[in-house]
Amino acid sequence: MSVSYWRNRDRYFRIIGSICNSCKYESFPNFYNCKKCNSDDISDKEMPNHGKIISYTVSSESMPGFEKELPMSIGLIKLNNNVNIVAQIVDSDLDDIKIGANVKSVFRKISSDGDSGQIYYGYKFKIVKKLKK
Amino acid sequence: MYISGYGGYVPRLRLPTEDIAKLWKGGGSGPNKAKSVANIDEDTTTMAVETARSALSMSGPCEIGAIFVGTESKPYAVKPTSTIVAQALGVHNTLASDFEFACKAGTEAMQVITGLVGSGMISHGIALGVDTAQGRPGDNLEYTAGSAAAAFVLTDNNKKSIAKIEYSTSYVTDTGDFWRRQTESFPRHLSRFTGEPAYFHHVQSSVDQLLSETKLQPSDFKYAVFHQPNPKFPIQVAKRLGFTSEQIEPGLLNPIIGNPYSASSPLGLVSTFDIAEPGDRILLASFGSGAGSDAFSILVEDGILDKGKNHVPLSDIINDNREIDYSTYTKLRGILK
Amino acid sequence: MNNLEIKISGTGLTKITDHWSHSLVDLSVESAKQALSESNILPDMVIFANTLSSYSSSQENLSTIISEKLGLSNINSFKIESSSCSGAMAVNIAHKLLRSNDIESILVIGSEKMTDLSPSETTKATTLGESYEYTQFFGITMNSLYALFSRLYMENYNISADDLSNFSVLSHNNSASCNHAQFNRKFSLDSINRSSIISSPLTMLNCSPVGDGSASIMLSKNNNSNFNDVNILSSTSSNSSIDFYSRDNLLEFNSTANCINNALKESKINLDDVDLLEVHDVVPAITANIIETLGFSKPGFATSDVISGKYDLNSKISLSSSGGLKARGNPLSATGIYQIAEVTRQLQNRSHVDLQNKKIGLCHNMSGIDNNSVIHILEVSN
Repeated sequence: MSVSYWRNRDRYFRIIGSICNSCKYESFPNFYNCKKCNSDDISDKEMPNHGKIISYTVSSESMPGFEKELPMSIGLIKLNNNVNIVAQIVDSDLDDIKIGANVKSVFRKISSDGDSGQIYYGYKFKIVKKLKK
Repeated sequence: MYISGYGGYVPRLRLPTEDIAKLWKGGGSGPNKAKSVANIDEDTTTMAVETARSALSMSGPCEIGAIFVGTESKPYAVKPTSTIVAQALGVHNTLASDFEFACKAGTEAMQVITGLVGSGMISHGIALGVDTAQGRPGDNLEYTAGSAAAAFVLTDNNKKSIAKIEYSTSYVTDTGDFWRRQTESFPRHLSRFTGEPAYFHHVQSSVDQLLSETKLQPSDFKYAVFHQPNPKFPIQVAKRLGFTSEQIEPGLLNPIIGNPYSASSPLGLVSTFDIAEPGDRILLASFGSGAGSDAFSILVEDGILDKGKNHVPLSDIINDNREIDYSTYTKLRGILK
Repeated sequence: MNNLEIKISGTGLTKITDHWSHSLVDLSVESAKQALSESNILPDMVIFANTLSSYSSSQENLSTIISEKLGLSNINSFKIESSSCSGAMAVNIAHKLLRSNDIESILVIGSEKMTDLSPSETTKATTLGESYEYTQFFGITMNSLYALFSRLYMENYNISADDLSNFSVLSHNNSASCNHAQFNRKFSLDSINRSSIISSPLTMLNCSPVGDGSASIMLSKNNNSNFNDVNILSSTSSNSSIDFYSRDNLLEFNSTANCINNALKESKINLDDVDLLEVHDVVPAITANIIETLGFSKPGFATSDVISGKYDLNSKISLSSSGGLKARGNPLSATGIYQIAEVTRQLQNRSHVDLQNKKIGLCHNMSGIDNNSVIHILEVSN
């Protein structure tokens, strides 16, 4: 098992970043010193599950282990607390992936160490649509 | 025992059974129209986390003392799915285990949590039925083996509860109608033997026992949810037991999503909860090969009127779907080696 | 720090291509030997710039190995790594060391071997400079980050991907006759726009390529070569946040902005004194944003400036005269040194194309999306 994954699993499972207890600035990934007020009084904070797409791309290249997931849609998402995050966009029609689209986080497999190795889970996002009745 | 929250999830992808039949029979379709297929980055664990979160969102924050995932498609033969669910929920002081009893593992979890809560050992527990069912390519099971998840938060606190579990029974025998050996990828079954001696005998036995012990009649129930290996069996067993097609209709999902094994009857209950009203009584009868059946009498309470602002009806989740073809399906299910 | 002007007294570079028959050491020795030969001196120190040696060649401690192969022993040698700006960073450190120490000369070698890897390993190699935990782990690639930035840039300034491709056309026009360039052919705007999509909206011919190469330069206090003095007027470096998307203004390149501000102060030149411009042109939108941050074009106008010919080879200011990262190539840690070596040769009138009246060159080398950058300003004196 990757120890780095184990160390970060709460952050990956629950999108846990930081909040500065002095000025309330929030950030993801987590930080140790507030980049706004430089305070080191920082606590963990779960980021919101919803946001909007501010940029996106569909990639035809993959990192090792991700070959089966091509083409891969990736979004730059502004969460409801104004924190930006980059993540895969899954289970969404390509036509719906556009700037301004609403998204919500989902819990998915990220990768695995082959068929006999451990499975790594984490956050991705998917488009939230209002269904026509 | 009370249900204070519930959640259901069906993957977005659908394989029309016509596509399966075209390849293997040259035409026609399966008994169900389509089945739900987990995407390449979904598995039992991912679906379990989604439904546990939905159920907890409805129940509100509570002290979880047990997380039991009922499944026959565990991503790990050894390493529990339930601890990953616990970690994703931020819960650590809890029992956690995966249950296996073919398609009744989810309702088995409900029974066990009822006992734990009832004994005072814990105050709340989450029972999940989740599967990414596999059918051998070309086999009849391939038409129906689907993917889905359902979760229920159980507690003895009746404040704002969704429903009350009034009574439950369980009936088991050693009957090998359907099984999968340790190192095999796909299950095997005994075709028509899975009918009378398996499904019908066990479901009828547990429901008969429940009705006899409670003195309830089919007409005392507004709805009935049976395990759905195919579209026909639940309709037939309902008729035999004296339930009408109107009673089973809201919980009958096999025609559109297939059979998601441990999630099958639990998801039927979720679907029924979505339209039920306070005072409605629901029969839930699961069936697990091997074999056994759990039967429940569930009374809907006032809390059903307030499902919380995050609740998405199962019908919306099911209606947001995208069709795939058989070749995509083989890639997703890892059938191509 | 004194004001001693450090000179570039020797250059060496290999062709950038798939060097199947050459190892990382072979390439390094090839370019280093040229630089040693041109400079006619021996260095007091060897600095090796490289990012991927562990990943692609299972080799560390290369400064020691290469020094030995060059017959340079009893010498101070070490490696510098700052992702894609390692090359120029090594020169920056060498410059600082020479100005503050009683040593005469430093040989800087930048090398990269990228093609011994499989396609997905290469994708990972180019993404190693980004966060492992939050980028690489999630399967996000370097080109997809470039694409996310590009779309933001395009939306902000209302510029199309097709128009941005003019940067790539310019690069290939300039590399066509350059022997060491990876690409020795021109491409039409249409063929660049129609090439396959790497990460939308970026097409393959808009992304800098993968290749092997090595470039070396000798920095010294005195010039013992047969060529005109090329002095380093300034060498500045500044870093910024690793993720572009966590910045207050996602299009602001503060690292590059700080570098150019300090560079202009230190060199005492004005922007319009610059005759040769090399920037870290990984993809067109980033190229445009760099040029605008440096101040050569107004925000949003770099593309139209390219289209109108402002940066053509024969203009007052020539951009990417050997093709830039796009067409000359981008062997990561060697790139910054290729830029400096090319500009040096161009200023000394010994490049593949004879450009008149080129006195001052500016080289900008960057890692990631402006998370670290280095700027050198060079001047030839006849």
